[in-house]
Amino acid sequence: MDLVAQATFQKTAEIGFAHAKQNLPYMKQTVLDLPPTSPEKGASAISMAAGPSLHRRETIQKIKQLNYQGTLVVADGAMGHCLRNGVIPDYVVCVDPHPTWIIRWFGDPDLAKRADDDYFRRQDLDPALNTKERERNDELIRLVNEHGHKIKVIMATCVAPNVVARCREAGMPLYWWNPICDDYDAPDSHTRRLYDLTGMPCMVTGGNGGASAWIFANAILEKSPVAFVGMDLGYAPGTPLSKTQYYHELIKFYPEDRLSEAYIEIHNPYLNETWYTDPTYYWYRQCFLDVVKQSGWTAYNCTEGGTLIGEGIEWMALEQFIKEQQGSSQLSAVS
Amino acid sequence: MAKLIGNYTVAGQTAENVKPDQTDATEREKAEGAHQAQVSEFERRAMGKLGGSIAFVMKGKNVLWTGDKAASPSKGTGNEK
Repeated sequence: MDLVAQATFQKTAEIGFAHAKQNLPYMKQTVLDLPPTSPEKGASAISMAAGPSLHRRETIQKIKQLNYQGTLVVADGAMGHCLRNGVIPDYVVCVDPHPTWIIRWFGDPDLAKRADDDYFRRQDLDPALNTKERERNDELIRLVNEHGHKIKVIMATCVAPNVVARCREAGMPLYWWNPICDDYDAPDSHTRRLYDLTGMPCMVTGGNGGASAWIFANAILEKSPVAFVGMDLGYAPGTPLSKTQYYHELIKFYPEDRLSEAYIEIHNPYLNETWYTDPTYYWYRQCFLDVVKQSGWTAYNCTEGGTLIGEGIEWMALEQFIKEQQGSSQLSAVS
Repeated sequence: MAKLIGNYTVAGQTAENVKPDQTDATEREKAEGAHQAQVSEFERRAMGKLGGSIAFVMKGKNVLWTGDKAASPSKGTGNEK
């Protein structure tokens, strides 16, 4: 796992710093400048990642049917699924500095010019992207242009400038933060370098956008309880290895007949199913378990699938979480 | 069948298999150093493809850090013991 952690730092630190330099002119507000959420929103929040259970469990449909009134914080990869289904999130968290992939979550105006890349087709994080890519991209551009001004972007300074430009074009308000990438007290700390450059507050990431969304809801919005959905950090039983996110990379390390050795099986006792995960998702899982353990916050796992089971994580059906929150909101209103 | 040996040393490689110009300790160290650098570079590039979205560390219970200003210390989770 140390190797994945080191690789992530090497892959993202310098390019993230270069992006932060380019993004400097647009850093007008920080996450600490966010207005408080309206009282009608109540105390709870749901953070949403774009894992396969989002579709398998019809999570969005449940949120709509149960008329969840609380705060909705989504990772960038889940925003399109929300908008296509008529749900407008309150916040979208963007943290990955990849130069060409991330803009796709906002609708990429330059998609036709990009080199062919099956990153989106290969995974089932958002099946809408598996077919009719161009049409789906055009649809997302329209949806983000129409609703973007209602969604606050929790933008990491390291994110690619093309994403920042796309958000600005769509009228999305930006609130900035620096990712904590190493020990800010260490000599030559990268995090301190980012802070010195930008002056933006620094926040723990959890390693990916879904984890950052959950941390943001707790740390900045100070919501409690905070549930998470769509955060499988693994693949459902029966998912072909070729449909996993890092398949093309792992096949370089392992011959086809031994490829399964690269994956890790995790039994989910709540579902009595054995899911599996790859080294990178397993690292995400360990990061999230570390955040939960060290923060002392309870994480309500309403994904209804996946591998995230451990200390501090309460497994709960989404319907139960929402009904309990709606009930407590009504009690607060009466008293 | 002759044992195939590449331009690197392998486990169990005996002195007689080693080319004479590699018997010199300094040269051997140089070669090993270069080989190690190549391996490290390969691993770095390969792992770069497997890395996650963003680096992660957490210092104690602090989830926020706003510099060293006395008025704005790093924010903990309120669960410090």
